[in-house]
Amino acid sequence: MVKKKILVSCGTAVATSTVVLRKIEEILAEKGMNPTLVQCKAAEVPSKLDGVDLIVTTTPVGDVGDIPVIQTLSFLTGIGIDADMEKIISYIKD
Amino acid sequence: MEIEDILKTECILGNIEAPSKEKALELMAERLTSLGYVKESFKEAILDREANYPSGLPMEDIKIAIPHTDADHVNQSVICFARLKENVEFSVMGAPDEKIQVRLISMFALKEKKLIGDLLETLITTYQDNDVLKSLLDADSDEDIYKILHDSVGKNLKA
Repeated sequence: MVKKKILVSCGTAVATSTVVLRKIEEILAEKGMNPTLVQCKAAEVPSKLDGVDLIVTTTPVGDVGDIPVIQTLSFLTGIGIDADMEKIISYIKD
Repeated sequence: MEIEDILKTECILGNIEAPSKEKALELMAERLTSLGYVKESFKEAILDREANYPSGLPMEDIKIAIPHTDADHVNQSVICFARLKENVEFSVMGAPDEKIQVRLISMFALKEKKLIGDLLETLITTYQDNDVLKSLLDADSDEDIYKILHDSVGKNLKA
């Protein structure tokens, strides 16, 4: 079984995407899921799509073809985390 | 990292007057520059970042902005916190057309790139508590703001 891969992006790949990635990782780990999570700049997303199942981003990303994108601030504001996690899980479950 | 290492009373601007977010960010950056925490280039970098990647966070009740920029512009890591007399308009992170009214700005300048995620996570966790934001708005002085941040951020800060 190939491990699912989530690309997590923000403006600089340093700040907000780190927070988002850690929260997603933590919540998925509690549910026994451990997909590969990769962090990058929003501008780099179109060049990093190889094997990616889902993109979660705090800022808009360019052309990503058919790959689903969840643009959200929920992991930063605390509003709507559960709904976003449901979406994330729906994209990465087998 | 201890909270005292990065939180300084001299970097708390509890009562600033600014007609725009740009002016507010300039005042904050100028404070950090004059105290030597950041390089001259920091101000332009923070304004530029805000224009391209807005930092307004639409929290449920009281809104806050969390501007920051690259470690290259920083001499010594520090948190800079401002409370404005009047609201200014910030764009929402990831949605430049969406505007929010902000009186609280939590800026940081970090020299160690790997600490940025840690500190931002700590700050975000702290600011998700609306009671903390309310107490920051209601605080009487810079010292009070310092104390609230010291206790609330300090509690969440990982060693």
